Amino acid sequence: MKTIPLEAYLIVSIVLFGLGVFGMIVRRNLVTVLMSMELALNAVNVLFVGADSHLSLVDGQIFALFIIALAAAEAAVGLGIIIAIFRLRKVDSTDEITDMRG
Amino acid sequence: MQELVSIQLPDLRLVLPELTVLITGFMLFSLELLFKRLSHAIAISVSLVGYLIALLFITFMPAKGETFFGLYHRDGFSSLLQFFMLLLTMVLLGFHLIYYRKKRSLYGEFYYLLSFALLGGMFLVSSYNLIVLYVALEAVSISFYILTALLRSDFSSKEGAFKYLMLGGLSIALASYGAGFMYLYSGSLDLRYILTHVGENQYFLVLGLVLFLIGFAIKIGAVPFHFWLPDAYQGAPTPITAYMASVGKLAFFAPLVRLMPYVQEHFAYAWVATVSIISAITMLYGNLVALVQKDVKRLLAYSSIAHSGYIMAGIAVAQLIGLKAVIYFLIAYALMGFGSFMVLALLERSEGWENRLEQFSGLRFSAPWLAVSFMLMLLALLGVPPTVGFVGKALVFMSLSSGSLWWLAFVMIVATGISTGYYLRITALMFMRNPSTNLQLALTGWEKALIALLTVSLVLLGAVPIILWGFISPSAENLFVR
Amino acid sequence: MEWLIFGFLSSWAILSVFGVLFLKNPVHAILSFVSLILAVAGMFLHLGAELLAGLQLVIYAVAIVVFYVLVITTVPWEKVKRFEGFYKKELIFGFPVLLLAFVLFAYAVLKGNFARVGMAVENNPKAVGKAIFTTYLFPLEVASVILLTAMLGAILLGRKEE
Repeated sequence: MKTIPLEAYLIVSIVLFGLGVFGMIVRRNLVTVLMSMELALNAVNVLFVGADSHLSLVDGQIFALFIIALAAAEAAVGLGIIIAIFRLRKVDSTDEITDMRG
Repeated sequence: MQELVSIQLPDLRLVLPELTVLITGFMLFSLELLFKRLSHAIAISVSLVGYLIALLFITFMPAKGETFFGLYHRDGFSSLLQFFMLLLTMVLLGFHLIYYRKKRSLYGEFYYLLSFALLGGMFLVSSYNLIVLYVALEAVSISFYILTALLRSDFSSKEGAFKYLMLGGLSIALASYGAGFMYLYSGSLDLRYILTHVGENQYFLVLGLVLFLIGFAIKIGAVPFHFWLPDAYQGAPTPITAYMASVGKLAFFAPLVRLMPYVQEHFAYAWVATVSIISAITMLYGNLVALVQKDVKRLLAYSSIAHSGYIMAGIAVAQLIGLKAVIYFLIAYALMGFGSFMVLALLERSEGWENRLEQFSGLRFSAPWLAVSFMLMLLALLGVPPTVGFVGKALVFMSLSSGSLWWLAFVMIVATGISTGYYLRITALMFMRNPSTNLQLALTGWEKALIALLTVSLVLLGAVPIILWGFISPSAENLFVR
Repeated sequence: MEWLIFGFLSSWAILSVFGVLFLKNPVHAILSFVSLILAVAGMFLHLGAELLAGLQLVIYAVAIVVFYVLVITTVPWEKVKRFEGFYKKELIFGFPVLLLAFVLFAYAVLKGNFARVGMAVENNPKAVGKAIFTTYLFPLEVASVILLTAMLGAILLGRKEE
């Protein structure tokens, strides 16, 4: 298990996180924006578990556990808001969310 | 089975206020569940009694210390902030019933959501541990997303909530990524340990700290990370905006204030440089954009961004005097911001009121009490003596000069000068023009009393600053003691 | 052998990420998301975090994905077909920023220095469980109340207003 250096996992984590944040900015569909946010949170989890296996501690895995659970909660609320938006205005793209200006 | 665990009960006396709020929240939740049509009077009474008991616990049982294996920490700073959070929540409950009834969005679940937002805020100001900070941050944020979106048939409320969720989620992802790098560097999840055991090769620590701070900067509305704030504040129901601007700011600034004494050893120069630049940009941007706003709610949102800038100027000075100034101004802005948004909430009850600037003309004829109170609040936001806003700005100014950040003090003066443009314009409109809209407003006795209480406190705490200072000074000194 | 597994898992993960980012149809995007979850769970297993791998599968691949699929399928796609895909302008401008950030981070990672190596943990679920229920019990309780609140909020927001 220690044959793979930690740097390799960190590079994977960075790539995932960068692409996740990039996806949040670039994607048009509201649901895929939320999905990219979950992607970024998965990247954070990879960092924590990788760090944990190197340091032989468990605190990082516990943080990753909390991140998984609370990301689920946030996704639930986000999807609820999307359903509410769609009911009110039948909109499904971030283009349409430009009511407020200034 | 032997090595399982040794039971060691945590010291629950320290968390009595939070336990009270939690129990109140659960009682509200069960009440709403069990009764078909919840009597709002009962719910409000239960909430008020619960929060009052928690408030009494904080005032009369000043226990200090750590519990829960070092994850929770109660000291003068957290008790002080929790006191004001509880107070403001109780005041909010006085106003919300008629407002929500008018907007046809009276949900019984509101009380539970509010108590849970309060609970998250109380935990956020009481810990140094990264996991507890993350969980408390999520608690406050999720409650705020839901509360922002709870206006029936109002598209901008859902839009504001979605923007808040997107950028809030991004900020939490960044903050936890930073926490990950800091954990990797030091092997511990406690901020005090991380910042005091600094080795030679600091790449991970700096990277982690920068990401963590960017995450929090998004939450407090620092420019250029503020994009969610005007839309969320404008779309949310106005009492919730008042709550987010006051209790939300108190909660989100607290970890930064706790972090401040620990960065002095190794990162003082970098900290001062970055925070002061961001503070300057925030102050100028917030005030300049507020000048061109036609909608008063959005104007106050940008003013809130500008005030985050002033508070950050105090944080930039990594010394004891800066800490005291920051705590003072945080509490001052919590009161001012809450009051000003609440006046808007009261005005919105009249038909056809859309928070437009022109509708404020001649307010002193239609609603004299409100006009006078609003004028005093605007003057407090501006920083005119003898209001509490003036004392706050003066303290920040003093700490900037003691830290030799003269250029930032100059920027602050310029920014305050710009802000007179819009504060005085509203005041002039209210008092010197003829009324343009027909205002029908019936305020209950409680509401008049609460507005009067808020306004008087703004002036009183400003004229006699020693009241607050007596509490802030020792708690700030405590934060510096290791 | 280790490198083979690692290479397989990470390329699987990165390919799924490109799928999530660039596939137009949301149903295809959610399928790539599921494959990403599986890849990450595989990585956790490979790193020795068995409990977390199992929990990742249960929470993400079952609960969250079901939620997403539910929302995606209640939206009538014929009406909003023109709003699929991504913003071209942000794509073009964002890409160099992304590359620059990646280079900076990679530099910090490769030159960085981490904490000391402790002794190995034998039984992962037992160690994690022990830590959760003693040291980290307090955040666990707060997190459970957050889940309750989120459930309440999702129901409140998603239900039909009469």
